[in-house]
Amino acid sequence: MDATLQTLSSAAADELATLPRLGVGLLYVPSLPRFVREHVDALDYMAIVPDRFWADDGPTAGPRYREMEKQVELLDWVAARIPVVGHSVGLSIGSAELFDTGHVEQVARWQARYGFPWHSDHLSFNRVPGLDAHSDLAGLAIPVPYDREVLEMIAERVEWVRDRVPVPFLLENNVYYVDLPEQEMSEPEFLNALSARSGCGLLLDVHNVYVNAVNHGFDAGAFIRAVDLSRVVEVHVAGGSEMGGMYTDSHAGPVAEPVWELLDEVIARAPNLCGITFEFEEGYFPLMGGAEGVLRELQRARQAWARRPPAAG
Amino acid sequence: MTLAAFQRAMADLAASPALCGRVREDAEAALAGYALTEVERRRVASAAAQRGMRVNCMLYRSNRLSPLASQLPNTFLLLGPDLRDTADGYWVENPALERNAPTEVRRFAAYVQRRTVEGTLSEPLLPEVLAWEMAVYELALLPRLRILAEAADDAARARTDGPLRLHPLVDVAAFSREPAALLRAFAAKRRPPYDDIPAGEYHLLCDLRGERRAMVPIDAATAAAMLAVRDGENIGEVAAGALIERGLVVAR
Repeated sequence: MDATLQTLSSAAADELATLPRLGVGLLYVPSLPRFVREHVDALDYMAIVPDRFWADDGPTAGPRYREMEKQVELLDWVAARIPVVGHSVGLSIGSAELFDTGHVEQVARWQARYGFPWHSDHLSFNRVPGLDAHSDLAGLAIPVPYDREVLEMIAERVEWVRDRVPVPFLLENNVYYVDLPEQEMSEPEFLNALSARSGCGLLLDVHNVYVNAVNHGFDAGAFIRAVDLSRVVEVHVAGGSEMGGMYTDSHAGPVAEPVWELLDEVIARAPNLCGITFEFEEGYFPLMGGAEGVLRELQRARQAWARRPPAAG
Repeated sequence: MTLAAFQRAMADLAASPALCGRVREDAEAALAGYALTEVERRRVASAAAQRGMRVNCMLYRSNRLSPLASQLPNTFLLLGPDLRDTADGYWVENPALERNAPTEVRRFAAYVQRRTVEGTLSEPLLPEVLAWEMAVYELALLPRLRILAEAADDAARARTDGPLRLHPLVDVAAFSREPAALLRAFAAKRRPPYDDIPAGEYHLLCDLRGERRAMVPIDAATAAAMLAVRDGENIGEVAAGALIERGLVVAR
């Protein structure tokens, strides 16, 4: 590692070491306001997708963003009680011909407003300029190829984000159903190199790792051991389901059993871990047994959180 | 930048099982329009041949349909077996997901409405159920608390002989089947026919003034008066007084 990179990496590590160790959180599901109001005490923090709280009329509109009053009202209520962290879906940091600085500025405004201790997005692209006359939305998130050219492009953008939003920025590892041949790096190599090069932290979605391991036949534990876990600030845990002959990251109900074991591996070796976020798709709420089912998963995550090594703070 | 062409190809594949098939048959010809490097061409061809691309195609359809289905669930119920053709036709006209969710819902609703007028979609209840769900959807988009605060003053100023408008948080929907029974059938995910449900002229008040949205049956005279106010017509002092008393109209 050259001297500049080492300095950057060391500064970024210091930044992560001072973050608050929050505990166990939930990815906010807007259609369950009653659950949120009744059980906010069961959460150490709430992760939100900020993009779901506003309508985006596009870069040429003025004003571009219009907030959704009802959702924001509940969010304000939550934010008055527990910390809120931002987990955006709208940046599309991997898009070759688009870097949406307006989106970054909007995230910066929300970070200031809600005091996100960190914020995150996905290591993929979901926007392709020129898809049609009105929109650039691809309709799904597609992983970037793990090549050096892509790494350089994303690293520069991460630096821009870090410059504008004054808290650590995390990128989430992908779930992928198509395995691209001839990539220059493995996914752990890419995550480690990107993190060292740009200073971003990692949001390690343990269920994504598990899904990919099931579908593409690799050892999920070996994947986790290959990632620089000192860069991991937040983990996601979830469940999935079968579709089209593959196991998918559908967030279908309780956390998949093998994910709990993988989570323990992460917890034992991630000194800067600040939060475990349970994700579920709201349509599965009744099938999980409603509030009791969600609370059961949160309790299990809390037990895992308690197994952190003493030095983890 | 060829990365852009690669990304465009991957997005196009997810949106089009037909393109996946063409790439599997003859990648050279099917990808001729994309400025790809040799490595990217091999990657795209490999992707099209993997079962994972079928999953991507399913996720694409699900991601585009789910937001619409969640807002127009009963329209989707009525579309039933016509849903696949309707979605395909809609996506041909609108290849990309609209960034503004309300715009996506509105243009899908307009597409379904057009297909019913053309006769391609023949379920008789479809137009009225779509109109009702869109009315409720539009009301739900409004900033309720701000509107309630603003409308309070207009309500106080409302006079039976003055210009009136509907309260911004109410609307009226017409049904040709008894609405309570119809909504029960919808709640049970029961598809048509609904021959056991009484036919006639019915109206529902869609009311989002309260914490919870309310769907209340109203008589034909009240519905007619509300629709006349909505159209800017004069309804007479007695009818106006009744609507003012219920808070359904405010001063314009």
